Amino acid sequence: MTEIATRLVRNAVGVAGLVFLLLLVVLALAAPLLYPGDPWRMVGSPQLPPLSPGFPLGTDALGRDVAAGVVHGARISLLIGLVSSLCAVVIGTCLGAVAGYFGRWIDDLIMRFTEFFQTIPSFMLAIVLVAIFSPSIGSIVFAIAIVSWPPVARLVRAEFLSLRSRDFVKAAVVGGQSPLRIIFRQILPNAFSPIIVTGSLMVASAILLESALSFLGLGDREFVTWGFMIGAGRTMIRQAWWLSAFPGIAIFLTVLALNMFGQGLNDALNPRLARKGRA
Amino acid sequence: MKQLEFIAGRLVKAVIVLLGIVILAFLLIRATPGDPAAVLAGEAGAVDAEFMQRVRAEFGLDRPMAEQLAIYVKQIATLQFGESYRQQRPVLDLITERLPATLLLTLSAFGIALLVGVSLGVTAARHVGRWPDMAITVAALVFFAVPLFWIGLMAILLFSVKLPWLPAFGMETVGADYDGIDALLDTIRHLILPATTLGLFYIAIYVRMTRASVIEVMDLDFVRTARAKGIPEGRIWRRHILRNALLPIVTLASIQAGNLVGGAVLTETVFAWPGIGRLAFDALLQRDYNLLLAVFIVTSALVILFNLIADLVYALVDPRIEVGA
Amino acid sequence: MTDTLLDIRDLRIALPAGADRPYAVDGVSLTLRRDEILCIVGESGSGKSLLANAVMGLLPGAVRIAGGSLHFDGTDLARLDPEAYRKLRGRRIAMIFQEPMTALNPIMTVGEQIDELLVAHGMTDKASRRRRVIDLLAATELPEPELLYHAYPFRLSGGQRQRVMIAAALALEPDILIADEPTTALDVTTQKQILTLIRDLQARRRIAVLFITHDFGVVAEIAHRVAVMQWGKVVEEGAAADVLVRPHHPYTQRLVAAVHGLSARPELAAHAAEPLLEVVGLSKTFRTSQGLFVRRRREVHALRQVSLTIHRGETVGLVGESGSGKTTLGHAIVRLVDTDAGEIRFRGADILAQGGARLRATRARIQMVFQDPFASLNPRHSVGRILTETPRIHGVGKAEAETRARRLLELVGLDASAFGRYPHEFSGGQRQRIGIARALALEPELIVADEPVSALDVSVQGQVLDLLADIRKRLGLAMLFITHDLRVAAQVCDTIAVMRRGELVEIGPAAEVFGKPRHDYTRRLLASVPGAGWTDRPGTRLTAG
Repeated sequence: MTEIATRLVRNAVGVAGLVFLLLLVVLALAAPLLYPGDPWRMVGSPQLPPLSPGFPLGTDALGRDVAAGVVHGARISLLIGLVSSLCAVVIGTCLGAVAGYFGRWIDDLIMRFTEFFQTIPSFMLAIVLVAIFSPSIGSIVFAIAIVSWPPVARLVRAEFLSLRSRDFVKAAVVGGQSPLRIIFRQILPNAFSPIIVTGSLMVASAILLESALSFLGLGDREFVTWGFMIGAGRTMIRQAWWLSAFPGIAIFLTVLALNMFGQGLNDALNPRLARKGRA
Repeated sequence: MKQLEFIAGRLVKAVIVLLGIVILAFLLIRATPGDPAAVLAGEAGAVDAEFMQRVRAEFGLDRPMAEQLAIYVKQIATLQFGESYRQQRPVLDLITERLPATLLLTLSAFGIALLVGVSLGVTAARHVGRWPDMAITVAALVFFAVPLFWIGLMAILLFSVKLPWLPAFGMETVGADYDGIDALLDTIRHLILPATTLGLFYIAIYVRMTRASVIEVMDLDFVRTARAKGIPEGRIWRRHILRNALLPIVTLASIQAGNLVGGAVLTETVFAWPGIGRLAFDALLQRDYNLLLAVFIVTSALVILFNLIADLVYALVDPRIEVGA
Repeated sequence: MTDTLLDIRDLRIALPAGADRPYAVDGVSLTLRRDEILCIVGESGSGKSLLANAVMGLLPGAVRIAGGSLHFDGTDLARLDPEAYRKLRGRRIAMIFQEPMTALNPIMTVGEQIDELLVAHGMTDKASRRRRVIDLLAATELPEPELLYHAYPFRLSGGQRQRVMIAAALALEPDILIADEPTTALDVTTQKQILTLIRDLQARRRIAVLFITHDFGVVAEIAHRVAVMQWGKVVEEGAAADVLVRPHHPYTQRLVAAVHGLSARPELAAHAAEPLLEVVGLSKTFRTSQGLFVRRRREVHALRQVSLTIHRGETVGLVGESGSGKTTLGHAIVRLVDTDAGEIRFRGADILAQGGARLRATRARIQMVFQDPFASLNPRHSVGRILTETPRIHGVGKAEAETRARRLLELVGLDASAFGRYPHEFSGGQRQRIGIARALALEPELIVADEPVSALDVSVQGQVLDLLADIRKRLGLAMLFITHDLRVAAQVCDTIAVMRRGELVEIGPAAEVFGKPRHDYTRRLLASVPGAGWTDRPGTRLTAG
């Protein structure tokens, strides 16, 4: 009885995460309609506290609307989170698949390479990369992807290692199927669910990374981002707490929703593992 | 003998990784558009010609690529990171005087995270599926989602601005000139907020890792054997479950160490903590890329050292290591 | 004091909601007396292991006792508080398990793991504990007990670990030893030794043993009394001598009949056909190197100069224990592993030199059937796709491949509706039929079958073996049948090849190898087959049809 209840709750958690994310995507897409024009524009009196008429989240020292910034910021956060995770998953999957399938020296080489990237403090590397290639959406996506792929590669390699010794893969080899066909048709579909789960959790950490970079002033200056808003509001923390509080809450909720969704997805895709916790 | 061989192997590996990082730093300088001397010196144009000339000579930038690399590696290996034009001081000096503050901060945060994270993780696993597990899991989920720098700002807002309990900035009270025990207490008061902030995120990570590991070990055959032998529950947990479950945590914890150093950049920026993270932030603001790369190399070296220590600890606690490796 | 140590009455063990039946154990009554070995025999899912765990008070969380009673030496076990129960475990009732490889804590020494049991039950003097542990290790015939005390489990073989488990179980001279399939994971020769050890210790110490097994051969070796379980109920109980020779219940009869004797099938005389596959001087060494400075090499000689011929229509049984290299040889023939030296000639052509299209054509002629029916089918592909995929690669048209697939399903005794279904919808035996159909889809001339029935229950084994024999006859196939189970080999093979540590020690017609084994090792293997004296006693042979 309790098991069923827990699973329902777990799934409810995942569904709640998904609903929030969908709302956020709608909000991000609708940003130009809700707050038309440049969110950098001055639209009201400076330093209005939250719940001021017309400015539910207040304004900053230059009279810019915090709410407009938060809504427009969602676009960049989601975009960078999604694209960089996608890149990381593709890089990691390719390397991991090759290492796990072919084994031997190829595996050795790729794994040493992966370990190397895992040893480097990832956030430091991201900072250096973005700083040297000068901040832009492209360089940020690149930097996040470069520091995020190693866990995917390790995961995919482990999956491939275990799957490739399964008898159904041997049967495919004996049946004369080509390595590429075996990788894509036989093994990869069976490794999909952990990859998808990792990917969805990775979007969360990518958003955190992006916001941290923006906070340090390494964001794309063309766009408003949540991290930048917090960084800009930092020096005003004593006078205008809302400048950093609201964008932070936006990051928190988004990342939380992504993690909840990822967890729910994991439970749904691996019911065996999910149950294991309650033996 | 085998232990020695294992240690030697890890040492060589560490050196190779370090070399790789130096080469990566070199490639990064070369990858930028424009004159690498300008990159090393800082903002192009803002530096006088004489300084540029010195940088070129020091790093051999007028030689062929391979030679440049050799010179660069040799420079770094002998700890000659060059000079920061902005600060008009040797980079090495800047780093060494900031290093202790960063070590104090990261090691405290690591200690807090490991202690709290592991004990909460074990607690959750022991009550798996019941309310303490639920509460701890939810808390971990929440702290896993909070941006480090933001929780730092909110902590300042709460504990320094609204409730003036703890200092928000720096490492010591300016102008107080405490000494002896007072100086220590002063430092600890300054340490509490940044160390806890930096630790929170890792608490969440360690809770998850520990919980998963303990739950996995709980179901293993040898635990059933211990029960069948009539071993008291307390001992089963201490000797059989926890020992085996915490072994992989050693490795996993060391992998996270790299991120801890990265987190220090954010924490030190928020709390104006005078460490190398803060130094990196300043270098960033001033586009002092030579200094930034030096901090990158030094933090990487720290992480490698940390991983090495973790490997050695693992070799000491796991009897299987002598054949495995 | 009565003679009855354990009195189980009308015991019911409830499974959690959603299981395939409400009660895992349903109204079982049994008694266990001092100085006897009671075997509980059953196939997977019969509830025999849960019964044993219930006696220990170690049922998994979701499973609970729903009715009946368990009395140990007059004590109602259901009324014991946890602490009293704990004191009982290890001291008066001890238990050993199936998997010796995982049953010991990997980071505690062998000595510590027995020592902690003595501590837990109140032995305080350190020196006498140590003496006791070393005596126990010696009593279970382990080498160098003094050194072994400080060894970690990873240094021990499976058989040695099981001996350590037995030493720990008997440390405090318990009244009852519960053994849950203690030899199932071991090789036959090791199994023989462990069974002998348990029997000797039981006789010497006059303890009661509750022995759980699925193997009637083992029953014949060790049991005084037998209880046969099916679907949570005891269907037959009696003295071992009676049940083994005159089983009453149809289920018991079926299980007993499924245990084949060790004599070859007479109708399968030697073939005078032409050679199909010739293996000549095949060698393979697996190397793992480690260490950065000193390249420490570990070498395993999986195949040493192995030569073997399979004729058209012949079934060659390749037998041996784990690590003998039999699977490597099978994999080499289907080109799943590369070899170091030697030749494999198929219809006269050396296939080791082949690549590309030539190799693909050869692959179609040599197909494989695998051991684990759960891992051998891609869980994401429908049965239809599994059966048509390879023929399509080999140039068979879609419609043609599908017609063939349906015909194959019929051939292996499955309904045509299986075509659109997925592997998880089938039982182990049915999946193995699908695996066989897949191997046949390319119309091969030779099938390499690697332990094709080892993962199946005895009663299902028979059906799959019959299917293989039938197909072989109908299609005139040659087969290399790899197995560790000599009884199974006797049932299907014309020729027997015995391997040990990478070497082919003996090869010959099945009747000769089983009847007049020439090599020492073959004799030892044959002697180790559990219940050999029972199935092959003249006059009482219980050969399956």
